[in-house]
Amino acid sequence: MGKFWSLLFLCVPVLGTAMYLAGMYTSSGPLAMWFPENINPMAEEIDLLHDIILALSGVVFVATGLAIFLFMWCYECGCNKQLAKFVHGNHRVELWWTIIPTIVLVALAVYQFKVYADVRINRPMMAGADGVKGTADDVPEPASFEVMGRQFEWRIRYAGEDRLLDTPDDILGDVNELHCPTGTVMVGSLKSADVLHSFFIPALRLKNDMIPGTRQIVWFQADKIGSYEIVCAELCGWGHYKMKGRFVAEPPDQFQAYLQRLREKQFLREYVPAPPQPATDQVALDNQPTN
Amino acid sequence: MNRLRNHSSGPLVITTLIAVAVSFLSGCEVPIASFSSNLVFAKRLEIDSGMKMEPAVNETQSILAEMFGTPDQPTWPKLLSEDQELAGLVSQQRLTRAAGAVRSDQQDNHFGLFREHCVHCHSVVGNGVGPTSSFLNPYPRDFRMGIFKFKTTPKGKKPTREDVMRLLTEGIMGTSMPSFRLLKQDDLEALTDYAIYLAIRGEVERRLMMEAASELDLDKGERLLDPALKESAPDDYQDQLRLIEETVTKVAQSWTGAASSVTKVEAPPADYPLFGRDTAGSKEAQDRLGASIANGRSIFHGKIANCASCHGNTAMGDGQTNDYDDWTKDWTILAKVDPRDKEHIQPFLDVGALKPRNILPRNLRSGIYRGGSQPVDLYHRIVQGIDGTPMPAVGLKPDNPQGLSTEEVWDLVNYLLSLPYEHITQQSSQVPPYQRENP
Repeated sequence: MGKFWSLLFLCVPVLGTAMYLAGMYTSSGPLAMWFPENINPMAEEIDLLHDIILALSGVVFVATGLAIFLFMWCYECGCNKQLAKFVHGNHRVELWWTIIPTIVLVALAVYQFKVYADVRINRPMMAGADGVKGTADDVPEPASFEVMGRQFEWRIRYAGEDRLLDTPDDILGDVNELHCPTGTVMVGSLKSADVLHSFFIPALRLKNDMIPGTRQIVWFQADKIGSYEIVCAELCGWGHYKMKGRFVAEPPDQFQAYLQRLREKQFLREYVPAPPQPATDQVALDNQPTN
Repeated sequence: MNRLRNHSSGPLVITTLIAVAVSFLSGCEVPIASFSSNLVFAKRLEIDSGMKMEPAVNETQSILAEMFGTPDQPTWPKLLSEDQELAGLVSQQRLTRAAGAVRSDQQDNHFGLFREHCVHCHSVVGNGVGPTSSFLNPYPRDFRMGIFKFKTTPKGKKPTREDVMRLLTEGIMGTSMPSFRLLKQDDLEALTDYAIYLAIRGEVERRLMMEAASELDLDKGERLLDPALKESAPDDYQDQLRLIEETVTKVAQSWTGAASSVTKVEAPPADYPLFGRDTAGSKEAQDRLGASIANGRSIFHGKIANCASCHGNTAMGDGQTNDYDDWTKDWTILAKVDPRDKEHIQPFLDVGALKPRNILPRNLRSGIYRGGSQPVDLYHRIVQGIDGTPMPAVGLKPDNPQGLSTEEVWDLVNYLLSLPYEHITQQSSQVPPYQRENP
């Protein structure tokens, strides 16, 4: 076999790196599998964190692959007639390869505290009783929409004029279609009607499990007009792969017009032969901007 | 070292090659899809008539195959496509698109849509006994009785095309039917056609089997369409053929007639109170809404609509809970089989029936309305009843002097819409039952 195995193992770092690079720099075709463009300014640091972790683990991945290749190449038993020498470890080297990763991991953990808190803990606040935002009596901003996961669809509801969910003036949204105004921080409430689902909008870097019996609060801001994909990221049954929705970010006035259309539909008291479909229906999912 | 070097990798390579070969050879074997017979209905007819239904089942199957084709190559019967009125009901092109194995082209146009999206629950023949069906509550719909619940036409009529389409796009809340709203419009049209096709095929099958059981002596070898007669008695053969064709035409006509029988609901005056819209309105609007809801409540408990008798005094759907829907009654009560008697129903379960379950009146406090939550949807449910279920239609004045006026129906709608927000501990009726009067 000669050097066959060492060359085969060399393929791991080489092909691995090539695939990543192709994914990052190809814009179409089967190799284009990088993230869609991020439209959520609140999630920019998530991408940054991902890049840092990818770079660090990439270096380790390539270095390990190359080291394995080098050892296999140099000490392949067919051509290396030297007898094996047994080494009982090197205290200094072991110390360093423990200390350096520890420092890196702790640094990462500390660095991501803030990102995690911004995404999961520091819920957007609004002015409390004194009417001024940024004072001590601020209250958490109430959720302005609700998404309920159900095998295998997304049911949407918007808060009405009282800005509260679960009140009689709630607006029932179109199934599988979440609209939101651009440039506004949106707080949403997630729940599930049956099993575990995970609400995932890749373009917003927003992913949160929906747990039956509880409400999860998420927040984001969409800054680019367009139609994006909602997918389920938790295996929830045989139709999981088809559990898709459409997320539409539109200018605030269009969003208000959309809510008005939903209201009219919700309060319909006469027979209309073919219910009028909102114009956004024409935006096919595959027309969404990707990069 | 030498021990390692002598270790041959031969057996490993051979084993791998065999494994790969086996998986290549065995992986692509798919059974040929076929429409299964309605054996549950045949069983019922067998009990009714005391004859062996097997010959009739087989004959019906071959007549249907002749006219309606197979799951891979469905055909819209020629006699229907030649009829000007019935030709537009289902398009052959859409049928072909929805049928067959799942496949897609380079432009991501999908084919075999029924098997991609529906077959899991509704099964190939549309009898609602797909692989997942027994896990679901309620069971998936059996199209073959031609009965659909949520539609805009009166009880006993077929749904319009738009009604079927709406079920596909919106899904049915409270059941396992999801929304297919993001499919392409063409896909939805094709699936609608295919569902109508399966419903018509299934209903023709039932009628032919019924015909055979009631008119023929199967034990003596009589047949629905006897090819022997073609030579010996051509007139009799033509009569038999005509009878079958009439059955098909009649079933198809019941579908084309749906559009003209729609219950056209006219909106009340715009200032007529509406729950949700006027809940936070002016004082006057709120007062009128309150009065409307109160009136709705008394209608709910009153003698004419008498909703409380099934939906319960608390409207939680706990009134009448031991009834069955028509799909279950079809092979239990109508065949004089007790659905609770395990031994009695076993022969039916053996041929594919699902275990009978009671149909429960809707819990009106959950805010989930299967047929849609628009006021007009609730209006349709009240004045039309719900096909296939014990939910009756309420009579409307002036056609029915004993019935409700349209205003009263809208009041009832307001009350229904307000129920999910009413506290459960609060007594839903202001008047105790023994003091209630006929409104």
